[in-house]
Amino acid sequence: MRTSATLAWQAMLIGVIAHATALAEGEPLHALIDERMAPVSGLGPAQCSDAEFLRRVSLDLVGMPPTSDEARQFISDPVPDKRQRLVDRLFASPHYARHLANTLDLMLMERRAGTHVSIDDWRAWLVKCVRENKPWNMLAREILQADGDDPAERPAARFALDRASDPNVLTRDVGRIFFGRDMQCAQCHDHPLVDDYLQSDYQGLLAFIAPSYALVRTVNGAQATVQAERPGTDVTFQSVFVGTPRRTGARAPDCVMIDEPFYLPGEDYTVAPADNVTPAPKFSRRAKLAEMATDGSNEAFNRNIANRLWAHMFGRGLVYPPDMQHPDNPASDPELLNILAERFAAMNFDIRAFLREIALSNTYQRSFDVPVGLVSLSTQATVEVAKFEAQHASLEQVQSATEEAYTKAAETWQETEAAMLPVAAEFDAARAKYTEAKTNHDAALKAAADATAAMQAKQALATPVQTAAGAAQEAAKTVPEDKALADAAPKISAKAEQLAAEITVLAKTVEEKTAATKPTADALAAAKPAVEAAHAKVAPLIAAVRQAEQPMLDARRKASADLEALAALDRRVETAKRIAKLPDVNNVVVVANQAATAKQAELTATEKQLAEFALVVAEHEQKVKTASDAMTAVTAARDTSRAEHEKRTQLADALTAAFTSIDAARQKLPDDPPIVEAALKLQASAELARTQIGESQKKFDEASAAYKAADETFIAAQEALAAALAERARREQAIELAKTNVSAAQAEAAAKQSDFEKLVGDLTDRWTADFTLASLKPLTPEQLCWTVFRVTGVYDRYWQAEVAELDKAKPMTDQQKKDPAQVAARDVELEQKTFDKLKENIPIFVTFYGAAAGQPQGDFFSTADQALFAVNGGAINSWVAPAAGNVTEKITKQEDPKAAAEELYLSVLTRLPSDAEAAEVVAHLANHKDNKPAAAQELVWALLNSAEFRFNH
Amino acid sequence: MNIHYACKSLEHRIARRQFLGTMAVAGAGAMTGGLGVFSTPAVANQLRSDQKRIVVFNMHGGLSQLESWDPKPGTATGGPFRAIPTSVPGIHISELLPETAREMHHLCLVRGVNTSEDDHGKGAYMMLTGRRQTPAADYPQIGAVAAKALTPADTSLPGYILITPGGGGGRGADSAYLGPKYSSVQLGNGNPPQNTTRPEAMAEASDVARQDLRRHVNERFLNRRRTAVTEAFTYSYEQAQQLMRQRDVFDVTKEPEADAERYGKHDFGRHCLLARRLLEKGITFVQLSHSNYDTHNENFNFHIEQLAEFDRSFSCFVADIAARGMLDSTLIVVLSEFGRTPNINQYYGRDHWSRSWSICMGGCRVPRGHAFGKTSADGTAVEDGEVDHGKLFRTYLEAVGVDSSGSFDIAGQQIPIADPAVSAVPELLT
Repeated sequence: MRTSATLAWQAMLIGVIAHATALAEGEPLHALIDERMAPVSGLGPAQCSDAEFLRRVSLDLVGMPPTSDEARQFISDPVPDKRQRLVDRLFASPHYARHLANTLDLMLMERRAGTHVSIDDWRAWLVKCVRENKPWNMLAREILQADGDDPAERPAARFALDRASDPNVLTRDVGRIFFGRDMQCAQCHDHPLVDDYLQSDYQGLLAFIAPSYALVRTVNGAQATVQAERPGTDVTFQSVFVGTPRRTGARAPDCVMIDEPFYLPGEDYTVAPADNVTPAPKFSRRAKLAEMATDGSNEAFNRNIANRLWAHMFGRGLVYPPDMQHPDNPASDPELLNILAERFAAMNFDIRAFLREIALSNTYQRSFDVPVGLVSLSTQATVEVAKFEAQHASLEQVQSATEEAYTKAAETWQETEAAMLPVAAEFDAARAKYTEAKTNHDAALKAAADATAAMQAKQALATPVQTAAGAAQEAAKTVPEDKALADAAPKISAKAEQLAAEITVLAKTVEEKTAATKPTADALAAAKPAVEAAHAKVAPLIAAVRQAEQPMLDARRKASADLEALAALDRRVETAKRIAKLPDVNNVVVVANQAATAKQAELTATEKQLAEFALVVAEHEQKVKTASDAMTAVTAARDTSRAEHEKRTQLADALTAAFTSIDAARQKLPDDPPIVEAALKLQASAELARTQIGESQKKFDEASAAYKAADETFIAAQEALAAALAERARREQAIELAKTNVSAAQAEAAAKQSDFEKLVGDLTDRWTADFTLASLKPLTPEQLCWTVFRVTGVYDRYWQAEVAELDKAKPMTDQQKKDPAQVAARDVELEQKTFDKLKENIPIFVTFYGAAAGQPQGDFFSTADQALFAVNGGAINSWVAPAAGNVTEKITKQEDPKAAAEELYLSVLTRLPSDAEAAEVVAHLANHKDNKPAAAQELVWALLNSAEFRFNH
Repeated sequence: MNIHYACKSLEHRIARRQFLGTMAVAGAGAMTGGLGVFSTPAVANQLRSDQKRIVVFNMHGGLSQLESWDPKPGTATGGPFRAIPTSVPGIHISELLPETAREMHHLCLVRGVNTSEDDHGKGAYMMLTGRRQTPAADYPQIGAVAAKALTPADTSLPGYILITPGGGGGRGADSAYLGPKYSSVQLGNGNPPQNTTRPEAMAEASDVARQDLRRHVNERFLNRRRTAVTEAFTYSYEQAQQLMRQRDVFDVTKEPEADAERYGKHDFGRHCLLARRLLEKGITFVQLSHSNYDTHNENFNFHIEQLAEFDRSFSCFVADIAARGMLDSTLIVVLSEFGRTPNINQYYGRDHWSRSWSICMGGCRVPRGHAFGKTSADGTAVEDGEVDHGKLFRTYLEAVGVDSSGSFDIAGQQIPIADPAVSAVPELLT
């Protein structure tokens, strides 16, 4: 029930029914890939351009970009299937083997030192394997079971030998590299972070590997370490956390513990250990593991290599990191990974054919540009979120059931194992006893044999002496007068007797030692049925454990598949949710932008009001000025009239005073006529003066009134101006406020925009991780090396030199030149020769761009010392300096600057420059026409140090 | 180069001869007082006191604890040299370190080290990583750990500098899973990092022109796609430029000639002065080495010569760090891969010995003028305060304020910074 439910849900999850049937039938793998890789939410990612495809696939398949001529030709080629033709051309290139061998080398050896096997031999062997298109499973099998004994096959043993044959290192690396599972942390206990990595998995794999060990042998006078093997035994172990004792035989990932034939100790070798001999056990666990891993049925093995080859092309595995395959770290599409794994096994692990399918898929040919118009995807995404969540809920139920089933099966299995343990311990004891008896008996047999040998040696010595004694006696009798003979004969006889006595002693020893073998033989004979009985007793219990293990493994596989499906679904839900969120987040941006615009409009309006008000202020200022001018006039008039009035008043006062004094005189001299007359005159003048005062007073009063009126006008004008200025200040303040508001609103809008961009960035990362978008793949140190050589023209110069040399040494006939096989063989030879000439440069790049030995080589890092190497180091600068036929010289010599720009971009970046880029090149060359070589070198260097060059995209 | 070895003096020769003849007991030497001999204008103000630094003096080959930090004069194993008092009452060290003795109030001796590993490579690995070497796992060295844990994010200077006795420099393979970003930048014989000067054949204008072009071309591509890796790539070029601008940081000839004289005009003296300069300029971790103490033959002669060189330069270094107020922010560690046997072999040598030996520390949270741990009278066993590489490693980290029970997040995996099975030594932390 649960099974069918799981399957049903998985089918729904996929959204495409009955893949298995499609799989079985002839649909090409690249089509299946594209079907699976239809992006969610209706996103239609763009395809990369021809130029991008050319650079990408060249770097991925042959490790270097094409020449500018090849690029020019491909880009302008009108043939519709030119991409497919290109892919096939690249596979036929001798560089393909070099590059894939390098990828395999990095994957298998991770730049470890060559201690026991020369790195050159190893790499040459890998290249040979790739040239022969040796299927991956064959290659893996050779590596896993190699002992390094046969010089021709010795490189295959490098995997083990250059890991110092250390069983734990090998268990970790076989788990990682061949099965995609880094179980290192499960060595001493179940993995603390990965539920799926059990200590029993680690120990089961270790049981395959532990019987192998490094053995130093002398071959042709030279010492060589080989990977020897002894018969394996069960491994007992215990978690450092949980004290339950456990026991396992050899168990390959996802496989039941192997059923191993039982041999008595001492009878378990086909080639017994001896001096300078590589021993061979009757049952080789190493060979068994190699077989079980590579026979096509091991899912973990198949998934691992499919994932790694996918990563070779896409820069990232469906499972990432590739050695952490477990349900909590799901493949971006578990179903696709299963399809790839099955298909790769079905195509006989043909790496070339498999990579070809990937290269031809549309998925591989996607663009790396971030798509536009994302907001419109949300409608569909919202629907999908609901759908996925519903699926998730149901799958969760199914999963908890499969999980429970697994737990139960695991308990049963462990109970069966627990029941086996005491009996197995009895077997171990009996086996140990038998081994001891065997050791004793072997020792006794050896002692008897040694005694016999000693006696025989003595006998060999005694026989001629006895013969001589007899002959001497005979001679003495025959020639009694010979004194010397008479003296010698008894001496020889004595010697013969002594030897006879010694032989008797030795014979007795032989007898004793031979007798001593009887009890040891008896003991051995007694131990044998015991160990056989113990084995007979434990064998069915072990069989029961194996029997209980199968349902456990089945349940575990189901539980894992469900868990992985759930985790993968989680990722999809998260992606869809983010897409669904886009309009809201975008709306917030829009609203914030609108608010910013509104605030800007307010500011503009306020500024306008201020500008308008300038007129009012000017008017008031004019009025103040007019009033002020008027004030000036009336003030002057008033002052004049006041002065006139004062003058007149003074005159009148003076006249009056004069009259008063003369009038006093007149009264004393009343009849003095001149005085009277003068008095009268003065009186009249004074009166006249008085009258005139009245007039001036009037005038003054009038002027004062005018002044007052003008003053009032002036004050009023001034007040009005002050009010206007205050209004202007208010309006200016309003502008400041409006400006603050605008900044705040703009900052808010920028923040919201940044939120939106972050969301898009997050989505871009997700789309890169699920292969909706192409990723930027950093070039490996080797790719960098060959790419630098290719784009600068160094590579072709060396190649041409080899061509010339070979043409001279081994000229090809016209007929040979027409034979594609001969031409291809020639290319292989040329590639090898050119490689040999240039390979010493690889370490320069490895030093700066490679990870440390023994560390995973896929992680990108960018450090200052790399940049310093590129900026100031002698190597790069010398290769970009103008020199015989290199790109810098070509550009320098090119008279048409536009053609130079084209050559530059085609050579270094495998594409044509845009108009703007071409114009820049033209301008740069024109600006530095006094030193064109330097200018050309600057251009080449700049392009060579751009991200566009550093990454494959 | 004519090096003036104070220790080639007659006194020492006599002492050695006496020892070889009679195993004579040497008396206690005279103690000269006076602290802080060197006064230099405090540069300390420029330093950020919150940024902790570490300097490790790696005594290659295995320094003899008996001729340095834990002398046993007058015993069968003690050798010919006397013990002298130090600036800390009650603490005596070998007479081969008279200048260092004056700085003892800044330092702390750890005399109960037991690492149980007598192989050079394995011992060095343990002392520098705090873990035993296992084939299945590789651990980062203390320099890489410090670079990751302590280096401020805004610095363009490398966090981990390794001054090597020779060689051209380059990047070390000592950061394991922390990745090459935290690997050592090696200064071969104290020379500035590789490739930090413009190629001779290149005119400055041309260099400026190509860098401008590069930025331009690069930026155009990044407008299509900008990711963490492109950012890291682009930043590496800026970092390179900054490093070139700061090349002087690595140039020990910029230090006053008087200091060069004081430190000693030999490689190690120069390296010590460079270490001072680097730490002052804000480098997080500096490791330098002094070779070679693997004295299976003529242990005593070798130590006379080697330690004379060491004593002078090291004591100057300690005094200067203290005088500049940098001791609270600078952890000083003098270590080896192991010590040397108390037993003296027939070639007047001492062999590899890891069961009871010493290291010297100082600065940061380490107690000043202290001696922790004790070995037996003949120096063959630890009697008190036993520590091992794992505990010491955690102590170094705690001393500079790193929670040694924490973890690094490596691609989503939590990897303990130090061995979770051991803990720091509380007595070595104030």
